[in-house]
Amino acid sequence: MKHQPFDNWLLFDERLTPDQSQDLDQHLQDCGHCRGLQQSLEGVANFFRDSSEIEPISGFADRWQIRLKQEQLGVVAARHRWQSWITLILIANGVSLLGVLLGMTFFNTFDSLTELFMVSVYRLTSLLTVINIFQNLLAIVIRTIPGLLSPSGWAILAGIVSAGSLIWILSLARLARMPGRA
Amino acid sequence: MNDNEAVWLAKARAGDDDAFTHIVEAYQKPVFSLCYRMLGNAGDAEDAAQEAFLRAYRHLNRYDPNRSFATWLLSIASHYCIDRLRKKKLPSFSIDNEAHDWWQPPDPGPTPEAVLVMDQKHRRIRELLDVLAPKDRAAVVLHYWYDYSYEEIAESLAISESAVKSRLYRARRALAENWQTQESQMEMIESNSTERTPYETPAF
Ligand SMILES: [Zn+2]
Repeated sequence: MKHQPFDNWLLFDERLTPDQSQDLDQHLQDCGHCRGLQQSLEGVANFFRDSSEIEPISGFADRWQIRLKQEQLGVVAARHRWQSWITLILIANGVSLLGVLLGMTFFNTFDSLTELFMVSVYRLTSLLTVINIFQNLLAIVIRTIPGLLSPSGWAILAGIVSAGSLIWILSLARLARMPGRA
Repeated sequence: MNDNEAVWLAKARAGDDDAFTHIVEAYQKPVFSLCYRMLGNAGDAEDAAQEAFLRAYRHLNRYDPNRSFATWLLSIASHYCIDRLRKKKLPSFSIDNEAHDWWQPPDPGPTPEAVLVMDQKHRRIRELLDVLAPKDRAAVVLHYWYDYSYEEIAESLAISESAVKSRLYRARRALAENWQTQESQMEMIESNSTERTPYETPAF
């Protein structure tokens, strides 16, 4: 049996002309397939329309407000993170730019690599000479100082320094324990 | 839209969270219901409904006051549920056991039989809708539960009216087939239970 156009009419659920309605009724009387389809469609539609609206658990709006606050806090935190990153990137860019400029100025003062090498060797030699002088001075001081005080004098000086340190540490600990200070 | 709603919306647009909370209270039921029909369980529906309201709040400046606020809001909820179903790509209607936790009984409190009937009804709806593609399901939900015209569905789902018609055509065929299967299964169960004598046990 031919089911078209009746099958489509049923499934499109559109308004039919009186003639079409009559044809459909006639076909439904003869055709079990289309009658079954029509009954199923009606069954589904009635079943859906009879089912009530579903409610959320009470307090939905309160839970929404909490979620909104959480989201707003998250947005603020994300904004702060972004600001920190942007600041960091700007600083890094500034430092690299400064480095490049300094490098360029440094290289421009020398005409060749040989000259640069010579100057570097000269600077290094001067630095080593200065270190040597300081080392000699320190040796003289170390040899002289023990003679300035008698052994008992050194013991008294060490005692005073230890007592001073102890008082300093104790006062720091007391300050840290004071209420109102984290 | 009533006057109160217009005032709340105006205040909410100016950044008043409490004003929008009135909107949430007024629309929680239809939005939750739509999400429940779309996603099939109360946990996902709650999450989706909350998210839909958040999105509406965030994009309130995009709402055209000349249009229906309900349509705009339900459109946001529908799109969110469609996306969620597509991302999940899992059978969304598999969780049955939480029905009693969320179902809010009508006053006065229902009898256990009424709760059971309601549970069976919801389960059957889930099974029927489960065979539909996300957008087809949204079209069906808006058409049958919200009485939306083809034009309104088209506007809500951002598709053409002819696309709505063809989606509903396809959905109706699938629903009718599914319905017939359910009916024949139920008939079989009924005939089995009436044929069994009182001395027989189901195990034998
Ligand atoms: Zn036929």
